[in-house]
Amino acid sequence: MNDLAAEPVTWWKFFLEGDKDALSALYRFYFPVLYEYGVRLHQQEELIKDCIQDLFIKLWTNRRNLQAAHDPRRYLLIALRGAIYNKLKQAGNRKVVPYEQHHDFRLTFSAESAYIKKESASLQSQQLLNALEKMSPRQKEIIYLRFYEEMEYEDISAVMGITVKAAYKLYARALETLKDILHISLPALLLLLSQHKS
Amino acid sequence: MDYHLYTKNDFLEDASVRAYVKGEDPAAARFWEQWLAQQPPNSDAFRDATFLLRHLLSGERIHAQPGTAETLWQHITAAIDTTEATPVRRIRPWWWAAAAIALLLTGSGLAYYLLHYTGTQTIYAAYGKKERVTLPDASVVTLNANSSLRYAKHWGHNGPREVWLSGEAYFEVQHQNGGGFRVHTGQLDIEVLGTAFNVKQRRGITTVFLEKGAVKVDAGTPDKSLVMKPGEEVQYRQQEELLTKYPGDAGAAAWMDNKMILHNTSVKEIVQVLEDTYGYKVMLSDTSIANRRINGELPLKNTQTLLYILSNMLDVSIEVNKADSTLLFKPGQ
Repeated sequence: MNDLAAEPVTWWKFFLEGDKDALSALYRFYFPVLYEYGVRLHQQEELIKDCIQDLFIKLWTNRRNLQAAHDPRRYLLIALRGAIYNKLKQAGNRKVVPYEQHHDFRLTFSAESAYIKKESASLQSQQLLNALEKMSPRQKEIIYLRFYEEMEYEDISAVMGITVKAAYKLYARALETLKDILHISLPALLLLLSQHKS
Repeated sequence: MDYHLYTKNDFLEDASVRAYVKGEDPAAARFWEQWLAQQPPNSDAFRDATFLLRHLLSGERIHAQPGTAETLWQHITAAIDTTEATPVRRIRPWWWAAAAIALLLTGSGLAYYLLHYTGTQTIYAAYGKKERVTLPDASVVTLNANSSLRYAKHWGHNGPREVWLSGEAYFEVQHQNGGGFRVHTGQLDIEVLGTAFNVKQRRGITTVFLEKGAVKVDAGTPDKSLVMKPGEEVQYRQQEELLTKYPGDAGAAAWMDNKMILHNTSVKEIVQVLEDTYGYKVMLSDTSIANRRINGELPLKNTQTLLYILSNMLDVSIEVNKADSTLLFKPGQ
């Protein structure tokens, strides 16, 4: 994992020293991650693009006050979250609530996904997808950061603005709601598997 | 790791299980398929976990329209360039006075400092010899034969760490918070974090092979700088002013182990090594030998052994003239 992170950490260091190419490398590396997370948090794509743009301009102008980042992705995701919040507040959006209480996270589970296509016919699969859709936005968010972004709980908690303990709890509760479905249809699954083999 | 005791949740938390489900890692796929084939007692827990994972990962991904990132970056650089154009803050006059007074006060100390701390050290490795150098910050440099390294005798705490290299050397740089480490080769500047890499500067070509860590290579002009990843090699050709990066040859630092690794290596390259590191002058009675390519490993520890093996590999006879250090390669043994 450290090997993977080594390059962006180096770019970050050179960027702090005033190397614009390094900022460009960081931008190109993290744009897809920032864009996807941003749009999931807040549906307006134009607003997210503005936020990413402001974020990188600000990074450059403030670089002398910044410190070495051992995980640029974590830093940038937190910064983006703040930028979205500020932008909405600036725009005089009265409905803005603190991030911790925000109540949306776009994550739509699909039977068409390559991961489950062959199982989509099974009843258990359908039930599981329905249950996933019913998860709370915060639960969806932690599932996304954990399984799509492969983040550690410590980083997840920092990005979501909660304690590590709360992150574990949120994750456990998300899985708890799914447990019953897996459990109930386990015999059915075994039956399916044995039929498949013969 | 005892996977036989794993529960469904343990499997979910295992990065290699996730890599297997995501299809990102052939090694993980092989491992888990073999593991399942042993019919472990908890294979149900594993199947539950992977079943759940596939559904958790079924969410639709969100991508920006193609070109979005590029357009946005142009806006960003345009904005940055505008802010850059604003003038730098002027130094206030009283700062000059303060600086002048400080200089007067430290004048006597300065003379002492100059005498004791500004000397440089030059280490030279002769033909056929290697030298191991420990720098003031405990970084270790192994100098290959016919190479030299120059550096300041005293390095300030967290100050700049700089060395000047001519020839070839392998660097194992101590990581130091805040303090960079630079290698100058006359053609290239290499900026380093805690890292291990090989630098070879011979015949107007500088080659940098990065083993681990990270370095930035700078050929002096703004467009000629590159950031390197482990396993990559960068070559700078002085004459053409050409800086290129490509997957490196892991054998670049084999000379540290007294070996030369040959991957489809031309005889011409081997001859250059014989000349550069051993100081021989090589002559070929049949120049077509130079273009032949060979594979294998050459032991460098003992010159006699090296020449014996080389003559067998190439099916040539090698005549050594000790008086003027000449090697004559002739076809047939």
